[in-house]
Amino acid sequence: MAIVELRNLVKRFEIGEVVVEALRGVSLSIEHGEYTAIMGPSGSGKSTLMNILGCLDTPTEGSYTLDGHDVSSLSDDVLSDIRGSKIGFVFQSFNLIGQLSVLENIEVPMIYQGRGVKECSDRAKELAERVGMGHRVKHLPRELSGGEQQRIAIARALVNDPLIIMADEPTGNLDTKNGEAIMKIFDDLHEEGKTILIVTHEPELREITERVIHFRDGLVESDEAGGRARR
Amino acid sequence: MKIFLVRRILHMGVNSIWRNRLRSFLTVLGIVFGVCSVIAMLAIGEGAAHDALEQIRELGSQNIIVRSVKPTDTENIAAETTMMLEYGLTYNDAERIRSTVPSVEVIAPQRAIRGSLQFGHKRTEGNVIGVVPWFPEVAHKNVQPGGRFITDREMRDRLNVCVISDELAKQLFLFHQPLGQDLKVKDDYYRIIGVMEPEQSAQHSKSARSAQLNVYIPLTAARFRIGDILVERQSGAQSMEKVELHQLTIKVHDASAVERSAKIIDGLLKRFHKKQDYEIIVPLELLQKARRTQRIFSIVLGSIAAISLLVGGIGIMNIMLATVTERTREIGIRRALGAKKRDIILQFLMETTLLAGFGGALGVLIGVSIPFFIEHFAAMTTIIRWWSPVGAFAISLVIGIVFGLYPAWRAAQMNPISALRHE
Repeated sequence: MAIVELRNLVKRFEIGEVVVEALRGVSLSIEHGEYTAIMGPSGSGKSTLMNILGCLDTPTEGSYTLDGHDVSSLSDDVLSDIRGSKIGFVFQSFNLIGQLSVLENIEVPMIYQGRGVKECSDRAKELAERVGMGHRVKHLPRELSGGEQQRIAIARALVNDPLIIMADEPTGNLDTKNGEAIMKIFDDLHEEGKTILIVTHEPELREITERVIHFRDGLVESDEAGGRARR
Repeated sequence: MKIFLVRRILHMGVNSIWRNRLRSFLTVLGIVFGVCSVIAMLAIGEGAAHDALEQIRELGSQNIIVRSVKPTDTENIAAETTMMLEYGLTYNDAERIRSTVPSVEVIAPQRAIRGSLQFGHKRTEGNVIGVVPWFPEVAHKNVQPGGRFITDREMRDRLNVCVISDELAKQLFLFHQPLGQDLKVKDDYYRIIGVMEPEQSAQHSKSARSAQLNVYIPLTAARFRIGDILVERQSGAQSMEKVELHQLTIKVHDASAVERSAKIIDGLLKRFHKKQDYEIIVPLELLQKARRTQRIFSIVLGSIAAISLLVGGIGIMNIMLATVTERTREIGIRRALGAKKRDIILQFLMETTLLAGFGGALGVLIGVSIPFFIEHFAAMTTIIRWWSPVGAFAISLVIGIVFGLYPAWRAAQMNPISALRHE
């Protein structure tokens, strides 16, 4: 069964008098365990799509079914819950909370799911180990390199066992070496059967992912198999 | 509401305040000053009111006090020719009031003159007061255990006995048991038969203490040994005064009859006194007046407190609005990771309430210690009622919640997408 199912998704923004149509009827579905890259030039609508897929925004028209439930017109509270429990976000600029330690940052999504203190810190430690950062849990984000920060962000995305991991340009702020290390983690997650969706500019990812969807002017331009699938 | 979540949010609030301790401290200064000034002012006000009320209460709420007063200079030119100034209440006045005013229960006349008091080689100046045996009952004063007050027989026989005040006992009989000793009052010796209980509204100042050096002797003995005429010699001049009684303490049978009786007594005395050489004091009226004054004082105090706390609250709101803007990105991240609007509201509201709470607690601490210093260094009575620190603290919490609502609401209303992009 498809985890994500989009039907004729339209998103319009009104900027003053002008109405901008960012998505002009997008239909696509993503299956469980798929490793997908979404590519396209700036302004092609991929960021808008990510916001809607991530339940940070709602579509103007069309339907979005996540895990069998229509989420296109839910209340803010329910959407918050879905974000916290079913979606794991990884951002280009890491978006760790600067005042919290590494461990506390990993705990944040669990706090809002109302999980116990002990449970939170055990799980956060486990995930820090998993991304190879177990020795630095007491540090503040600014004391870590970009690559290290992104590892923490991935650990944070995983704490609530999300249905789907959504990464927005996860290697955009990293050098090649660190970028490759991060992509290696995504690879491993894919091997474990996680569903991953990456928005990217970088053509190399074409070779790593299973499926590549190209966007142009708010529409799907092409939907083809990635390098991994061909192998 | 999930209890873990509330605990975590509380923890977050404490951390956030601690990280910005200087800013937090400066932010809550308004609340600190507001709270501590309220507590200190209330304590001083209560202390002053307590002293005043206690002094009035000692006079007795069922009592009417009539005192002799020296007429003002312009009125006694005529008297100068006779070399003797005669004024004040007389034994006749007392008798007239007793026999004609029906609501009067007891009447206690007294005579008070300054005189030297001596025991052994110790001597001091004090008040020699001629009183009647029922004086303690009317004046609400008691004799300390072991001693007794003047009896009817001693009164009738004009015996040389005396009862002294606690202050005097402390001053003259530091290492002696005063009972049974002979005290030299002016030119005669009186045997001490009792010591009065200490005054309840004991003043700390030296002048107030010396006003409490009293010797009570039978009124009859006072008249017999000291007489009604008082001769005063000052730098060559000599003046004489004749005063029969200095004070009448009149007890009426019911507090509701006090005012009416006071009017009747005034009317009665006016008929026999050409000059205004007496005054009537009604403790009950003074009591009511003192209460009214205290109420006005409380209202003024309350307004000052309200204004200072309002200013403190606005200060907190101002800083919280800045904090919310500064932490826009954090709000976006938390929202993306599953925080509901109410979680964000709770987080910021908790922070403001904690801030105000810390401010309030600090204010209570300072506010409670100020009266302590005042009492020690300025010798003023201060009273801290339990509700003043509790109330002030509670109000500071309320201020935190009220002035935290708007910043917290602003934080929750932010669009998560634009908050995430905020630099």
